[in-house]
Amino acid sequence: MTTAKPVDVNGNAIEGHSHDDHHHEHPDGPFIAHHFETAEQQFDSGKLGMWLFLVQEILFFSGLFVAYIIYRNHNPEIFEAAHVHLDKWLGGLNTLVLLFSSLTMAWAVRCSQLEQHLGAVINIVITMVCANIFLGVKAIEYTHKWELGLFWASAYTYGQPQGDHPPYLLWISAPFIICTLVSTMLAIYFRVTASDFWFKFFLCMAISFSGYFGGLGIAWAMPSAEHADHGSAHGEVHASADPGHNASGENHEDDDHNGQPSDEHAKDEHAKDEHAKDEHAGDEHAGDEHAGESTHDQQKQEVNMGGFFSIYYIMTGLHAIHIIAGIIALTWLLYRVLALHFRKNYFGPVENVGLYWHLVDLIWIYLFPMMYLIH
Amino acid sequence: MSIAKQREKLFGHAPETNFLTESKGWASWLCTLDHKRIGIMYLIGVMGAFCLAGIFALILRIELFTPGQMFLGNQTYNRMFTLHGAIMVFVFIIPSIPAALGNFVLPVMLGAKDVAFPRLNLASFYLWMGGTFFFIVSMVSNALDTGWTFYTPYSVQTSTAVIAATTGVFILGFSSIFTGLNFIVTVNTMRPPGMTWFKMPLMLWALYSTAIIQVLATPVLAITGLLLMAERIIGLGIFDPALGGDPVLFQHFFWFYSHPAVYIMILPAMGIISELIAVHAQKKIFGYDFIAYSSIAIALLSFLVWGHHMFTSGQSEMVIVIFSALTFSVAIPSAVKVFNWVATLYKGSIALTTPMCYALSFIFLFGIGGLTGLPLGTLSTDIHLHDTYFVVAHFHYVMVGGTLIAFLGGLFHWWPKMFGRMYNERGGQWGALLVFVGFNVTFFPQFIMGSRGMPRRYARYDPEYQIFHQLSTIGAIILGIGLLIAGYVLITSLYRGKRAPGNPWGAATLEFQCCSPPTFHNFEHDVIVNDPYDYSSIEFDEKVDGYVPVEPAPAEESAPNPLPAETT
Amino acid sequence: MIQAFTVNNMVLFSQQREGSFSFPEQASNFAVSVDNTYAAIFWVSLLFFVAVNGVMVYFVAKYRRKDGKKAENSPSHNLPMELAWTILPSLILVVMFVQGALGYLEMRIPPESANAVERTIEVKAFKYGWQFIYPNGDITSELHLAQNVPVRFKISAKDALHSFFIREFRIKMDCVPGRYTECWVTPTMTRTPSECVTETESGEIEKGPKEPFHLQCAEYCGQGHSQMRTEWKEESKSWAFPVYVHDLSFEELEVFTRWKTGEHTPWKNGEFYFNAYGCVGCHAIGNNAQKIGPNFQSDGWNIGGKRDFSNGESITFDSESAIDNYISESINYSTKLVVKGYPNQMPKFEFDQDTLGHLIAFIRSPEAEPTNTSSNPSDSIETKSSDATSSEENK
Repeated sequence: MTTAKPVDVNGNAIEGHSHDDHHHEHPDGPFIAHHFETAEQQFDSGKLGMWLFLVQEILFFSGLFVAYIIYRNHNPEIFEAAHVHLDKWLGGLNTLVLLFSSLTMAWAVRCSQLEQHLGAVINIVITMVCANIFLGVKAIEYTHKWELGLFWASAYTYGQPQGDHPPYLLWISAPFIICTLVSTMLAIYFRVTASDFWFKFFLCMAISFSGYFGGLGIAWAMPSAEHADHGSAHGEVHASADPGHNASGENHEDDDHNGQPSDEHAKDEHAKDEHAKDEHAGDEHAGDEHAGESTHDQQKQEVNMGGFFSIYYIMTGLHAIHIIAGIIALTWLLYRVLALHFRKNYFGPVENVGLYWHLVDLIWIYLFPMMYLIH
Repeated sequence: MSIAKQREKLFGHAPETNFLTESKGWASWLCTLDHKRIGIMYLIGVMGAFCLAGIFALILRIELFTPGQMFLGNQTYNRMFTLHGAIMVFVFIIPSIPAALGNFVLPVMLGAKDVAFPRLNLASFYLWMGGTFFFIVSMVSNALDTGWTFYTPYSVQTSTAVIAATTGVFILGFSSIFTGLNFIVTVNTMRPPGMTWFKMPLMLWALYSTAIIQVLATPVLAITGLLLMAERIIGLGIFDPALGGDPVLFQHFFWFYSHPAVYIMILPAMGIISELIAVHAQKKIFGYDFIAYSSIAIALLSFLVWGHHMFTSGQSEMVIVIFSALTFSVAIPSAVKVFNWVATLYKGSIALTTPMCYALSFIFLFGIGGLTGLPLGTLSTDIHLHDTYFVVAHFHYVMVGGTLIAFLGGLFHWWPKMFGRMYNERGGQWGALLVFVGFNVTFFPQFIMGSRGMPRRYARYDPEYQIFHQLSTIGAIILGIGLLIAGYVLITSLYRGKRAPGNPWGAATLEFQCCSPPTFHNFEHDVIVNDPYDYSSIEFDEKVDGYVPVEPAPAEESAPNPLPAETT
Repeated sequence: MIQAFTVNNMVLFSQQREGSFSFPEQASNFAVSVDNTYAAIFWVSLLFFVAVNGVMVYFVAKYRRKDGKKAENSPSHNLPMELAWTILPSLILVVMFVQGALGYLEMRIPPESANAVERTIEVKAFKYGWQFIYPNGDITSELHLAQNVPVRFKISAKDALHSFFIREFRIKMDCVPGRYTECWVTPTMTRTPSECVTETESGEIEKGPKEPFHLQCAEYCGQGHSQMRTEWKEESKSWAFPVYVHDLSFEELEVFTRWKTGEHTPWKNGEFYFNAYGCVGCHAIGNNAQKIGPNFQSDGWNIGGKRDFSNGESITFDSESAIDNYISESINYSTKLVVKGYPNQMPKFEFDQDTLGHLIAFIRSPEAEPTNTSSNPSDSIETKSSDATSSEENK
């Protein structure tokens, strides 16, 4: 791993080597840091560092996996009833998209190792397009659920009449629309000013971001599966939990305790408090204890329907944030590949971003069956 | 070149510039990538946090002088003990040894020019600053009152600044993760030729084990913090029983990090003690392999015992019995270390320098801290002692009597190396004595209070405990004075102390092969890797007022033979 | 080995039940064995501690550096020794573990007799107080137990985490909201109210020669955490949350736990509820006392009196019934009207109208029973409905 030091080792005066050589270029190339002896040492360090970072990432997600297992264990029936709201076709599509992007990512690493710069650029752009398709599909999935009121535990209003809701899809898409437009405009600008490098860069970016709209389109094109599942889901949920007695009454009491009631429902707080009171009446008295408990059980079940979606949103949401972080890292790579930074003895950044991308992929490979498939 | 000249070059006069004088101005510090400067910035930062949290502790102790209210209301008391605990744990103790001292000594001890990722190292420091900033925000806005453990559902209900504090914990967590990651990679890939795993000083083994825990455990704290934030902001419902969540799950998550975190605190302290005992007794460390392996063993076992914080929270009997058994297993490697340290003293040449005074008090105090862990690991007695002052005394004996004492010992040991100045030895010894006495007077009565049933985190208490509380308060004041003396001795040395030689203690580890303070690249010459605990070829030289190698023979022999370092 | 050491315990920890320097009284079936296990661990630990530190001090004294004398040579490793001091402590630890685990399992598994429903007392912890519900439906804030009768506690919490800790019994169990936990105990020592509260010749009530057993909350739960404990209250001349053990059968405890509403005036009943439901935990009685919640007397209950709320609103009492309505609403919708300057921490209570009437009678005059007690408690409630609109406007 480490090789013999390329410095003289006879114990003689080596000062002069010491104070200021960090300002000088490393003999192995412009991107080798002064404190490394060789390019190989730097590559090994970077790669080990990345692996440790990935270990850290896995443990970061492990907490959520544990929470999933525990909740599934406590409330299997809720998970069974709730997971039909997830469209396994869209989930499956996203799985394929990510798997394909892993292939192109690995290919990009190989290309930059072989100094095939064009191949590296193409593969990185395809990877970014896939990442954006993934987010597009996810946006359709999320917004569809929000429209139905399938939120996390405290905001869960499924089965209640849904009033006017904000244009969720537009909100989510806004950053992508802006990014695509800005990239396109900058590409045109640099085309006009004949700045070839930046033209290529922003052209690639514009192509990448347009993948998001591809994702939206594909997801729209397969709505049949989504609606079919929902039809059956309605029946099941109504059977297991009476939507009229939603637990939000309890939530709002809790909000009161916090002194920060949620604005959204502040208006009808009073009415709901009253309602919850009725249900709890007599809870204080030992004789009525049983009535109190059964009410509580019923509520618990309804709340946990939201509990499934709490876990769903936090897990897929964090994963989506990792995808976005991956897009940012890929953008940085794209810049460096276009600037021809990488060569045979220096392609660590591509390799490391690749490792990261595979991990993000891998986490989805676990998330997909856990959330969408297991019955 | 003659031997005498070479000697003088290595250990005599300081070169014209060192890392402190190499460049000037605020920017040269704030943007530095030099691990030594980053270490010193951390040192200043964590000492500030320590003073702040220490003042909180003193105020708490004074309030507890009487059973009723003196000057702190219940709520203020709760906020203050919360901030004392949270700042001490997250902002001070966890980064104290690894990030402040470790950053300074790890690359030099290893014989490397810097850590593997200097930019990441600086980023860790700024993350630490960011996390601390959020803690300060939570302190001045609506001071946190959840206890440093953030137990749900109280942390979801309280109106205090839980989100700011959790953000702080989250950010500090990543600071800690990146420091650990950096250290692991540095030790794995940056070792110079000849520096094999078993030629590494034990401090490096300890820091390496610590880094493993930092990388593996801290992410769980990060996700816990994130979930708690989501719980408060949007009502996620994973921990809050009112939404169908499970508050005990939070405790599992929290302790899955925070128990290993206890070893993040104590392992590097044990590393320091291994160095101090050997150097200041001028004796080869006894049982090197056992001390090294026990560090790794502690690191791994630390992940299996978190459940012992929840013996009374309603887990199943089976789980509790298993956790109790695993808990006892951690006691063994710690005991092995203590035995080896004492055995090292045998036939040594023991100088009661300030670092050695701290090292000896460490063995005494950590002995009490460790042994009082036994009745806490034993199930039937723990049910009574859990959440009483017995626990408070136990973990203060380990964290203060262990980590803080070792931190101070290490600070005095490497101070000449860091700043090139010797401190007043007599003053340092007095400081160490007062700290030792004050500490025992503060915390020993708490064991008795605890076994008599005084619960922790009580703003008011039964008058029957008053005498113990009063002793404890008096002790805290003595402890405070001792720490002030130690701080005064160190700070005055900066402008009054005499110049430090390259090797003031006669150590054989690499950081004492370079001049004091080291130059930017640490070493003026190629490092010569020897046994880190072989003192036979080092001798006191009155001319330089420090230690020098007796014979440069190993240098001549090993130099032309650039052994490749063992790979991982 | 444990047996051998328990003989030594006598020196420091007596077998008498009066308690020792390190431990409170031994008042339950677990106490003796817990204390003995502790003592055994203590002596083993002390032995190791003295050995290690003795050797250390001896070495330091013997091998102090003199005149730059170098260290002598001696081996730096010794495998048999290392193995010895690894394995020997391990064996001792195994003994400790087994002893502790056996003692613990005994604590966890209640005997049949305690497990029965008629021996189960429900413990409800809340911010900041305790409530005990007996099998026959009695509710008090005092824990009354029968000597030598095993009893099981079914434990829950209304809001945050608490922990049910009685130090003389050596039992502790967390109170977790949303689930039940349990523990059991057989009290072995008696401690009756007459030992703990005495009346002087002049008829004044005073703290007795003994204290009741101490119930304490051991899990941090917020502002009033340290008030959730057995404590003598000078202002009310009574013990808060005392634990008494009687030399009676479990059924006979009814004498102490049952409150016969019909036999008392509304004020007396109100006083009882005030204690039983833990109001006393947060609301002080007496002119200067201050606790977490408002003091009922400080502003008085007069027509024309005013209360400011933390949400900026206020209410001015324009009639007797407005005062009654305000009090009843403050109890039933505790989080809605929070008096300015106090935290929003009061738990919910749902009382029937009789109980409310009694409480109002007490709250309006908590220090002494008014001479002209406002006749029938239901009167004040009936006026409530007619005035409901006016109080709505005030909110």
